[in-house]
Amino acid sequence: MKLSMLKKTVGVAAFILGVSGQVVPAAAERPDDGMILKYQKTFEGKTVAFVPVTMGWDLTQGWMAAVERDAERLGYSVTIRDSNYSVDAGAQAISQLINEKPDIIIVQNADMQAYVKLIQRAMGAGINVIQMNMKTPVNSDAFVGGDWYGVGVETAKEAARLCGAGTSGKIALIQGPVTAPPNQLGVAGVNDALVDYPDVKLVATQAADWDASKAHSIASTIIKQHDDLCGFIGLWDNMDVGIAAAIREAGKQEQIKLVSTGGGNKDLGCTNVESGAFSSYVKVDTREQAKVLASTIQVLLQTQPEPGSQPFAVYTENQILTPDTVAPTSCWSVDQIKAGN
Amino acid sequence: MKSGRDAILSLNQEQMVIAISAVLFVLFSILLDGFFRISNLLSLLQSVSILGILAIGMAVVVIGRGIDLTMVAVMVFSTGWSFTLFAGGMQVEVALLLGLLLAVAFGAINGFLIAYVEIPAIFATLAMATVISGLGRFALVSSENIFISGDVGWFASLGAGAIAAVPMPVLLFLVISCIAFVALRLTRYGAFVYAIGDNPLASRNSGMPIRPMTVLMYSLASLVAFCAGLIMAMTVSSVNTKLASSTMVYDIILVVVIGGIGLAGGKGSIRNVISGTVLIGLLLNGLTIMNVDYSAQNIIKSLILLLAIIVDSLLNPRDEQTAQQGDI
Repeated sequence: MKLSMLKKTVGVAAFILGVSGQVVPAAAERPDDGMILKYQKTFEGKTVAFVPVTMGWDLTQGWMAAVERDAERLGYSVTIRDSNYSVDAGAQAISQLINEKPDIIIVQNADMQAYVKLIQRAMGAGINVIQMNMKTPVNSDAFVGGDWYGVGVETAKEAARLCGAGTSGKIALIQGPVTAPPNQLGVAGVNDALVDYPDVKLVATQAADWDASKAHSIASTIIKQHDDLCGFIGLWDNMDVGIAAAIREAGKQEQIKLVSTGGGNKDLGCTNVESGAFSSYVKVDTREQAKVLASTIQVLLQTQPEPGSQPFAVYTENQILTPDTVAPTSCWSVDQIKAGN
Repeated sequence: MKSGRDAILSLNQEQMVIAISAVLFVLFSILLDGFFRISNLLSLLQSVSILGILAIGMAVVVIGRGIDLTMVAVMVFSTGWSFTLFAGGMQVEVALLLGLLLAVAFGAINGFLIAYVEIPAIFATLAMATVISGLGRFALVSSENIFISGDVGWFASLGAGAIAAVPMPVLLFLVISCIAFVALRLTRYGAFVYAIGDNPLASRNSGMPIRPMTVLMYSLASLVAFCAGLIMAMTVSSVNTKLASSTMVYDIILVVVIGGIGLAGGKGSIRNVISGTVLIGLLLNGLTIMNVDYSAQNIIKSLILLLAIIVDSLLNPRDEQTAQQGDI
């Protein structure tokens, strides 16, 4: 009786310590449900490495906030090798990591080809590879990310909905750098989807290099050029705030609709949807991706599959937010993800 | 004799830019529906006003026989820092003042390295641009794009307002142009800048404070960069620090050079900057109206610029008299 009480107390204490990020004391014998003890041990000493395009985005910061939270709770370590937009630096980092043999390498591909060979080499060296947000034609152990083509299709459908009967049907597309793969896929999605809407006319397609200021200049010229313009499609909220500013300046908030897309950052996404600056917003939720990534790491560290033997993917859902459907919890901030919300 | 010759040479280039601009203007007005409208012409000017303002800062430095490759980095990280502080709850005036002081400090460091440590301007500012970007990413801003969501009071009108239908950025471009014109042409310091650019050794021998003047020039360029950054931030309610690693600084140099300010220093004026800015604005606006494909736009832009440079070098062949160290 006494012994079992003691066990219980120690168990509860161990549980509390475990939850608050402490390693379970060696002496503690918590009740084993057949998995928990194994689970807790699995992550010790494991390393996960991440090679992002840049850590300057809320996107990558959000992902790592969730992963680092998990790492601290479970006891694996995370290293980040920022390639800062350089494919060379990224390739260098991956090669270096292959020598260091972490358990998992997470690669945020800058494009569809650059890291193909390296991903194969890493898997050949026995390292599990997760590809984030942009997939190469090679399947690695896991892919987590958005479906960029689908995002383009959704934005075009939204624009077609907003610029249907009773409007001029004229829309303009402001894209990012023409060579960036997420942009290319998005533009392809927009063009393919618009085929179904013969009344909607794409009167201008211009590239603003993901820069709000450039988008602003281009958008104001287009607005002046097409008096009866009905809407803009922008392919990234960070850039699209420039389009919103141009519409505001022209005093045409009522007439010109802006369909934007992004990761759902509170300041950029929801704030602009709530204010009506974005008439519709296709959210590729970073917070959700971050959670899926953290879970994927857990799964791979536990199952340790032969690299590349059982590839799977989790494509995040594209959600559409409008001023009517946006809720206080629709968006996130990096701090909230860090805090686990 | 020489200054007279130089004046004629630089006039030729300026005239040429104005001629090309005029041809484009007439062509666009005839061929492009909706080009020749006041609203479009104002938006044309607005789209290049930030570039123009930056080019004024650059022009002052170039006339003084220098070059400032840090301008874009200073612009985005000083304003980016200000708005990061603002987002953290600081009063907007205080945050902007701190950003401004930081910008001027960066400029002063540039000037110090060039004037006192005697590192060539192109290397000193090239290195400093990397230092500023690195420091910025590391310590000043947390994310690449800083979105300004709070209420910034009257500062908002700097980017979005208009007086008599003329957008504020255009007015500010003109105001800053006037200030720079007066400072360069009508003050002693302006004369010093030209003298230093024309012949640093002679200016030094005749007792001009060329070292403090160099520090002053670079500090002013950074100050101008901060103003440009503030206007840009207020226009689009965000600061894009990624511009620091873009080719924007070359666009600024291009505006300065195409307008007719020789990189060799000592010649040119604010008028050159304005004509260079207008030419770029015409190109950007016309090509956007024509909905020209991005890559084709780049080709057309670079061909017209190349043409301007070729015609210029035919009109003003380089010889030993005009070619100087620092010519690119």
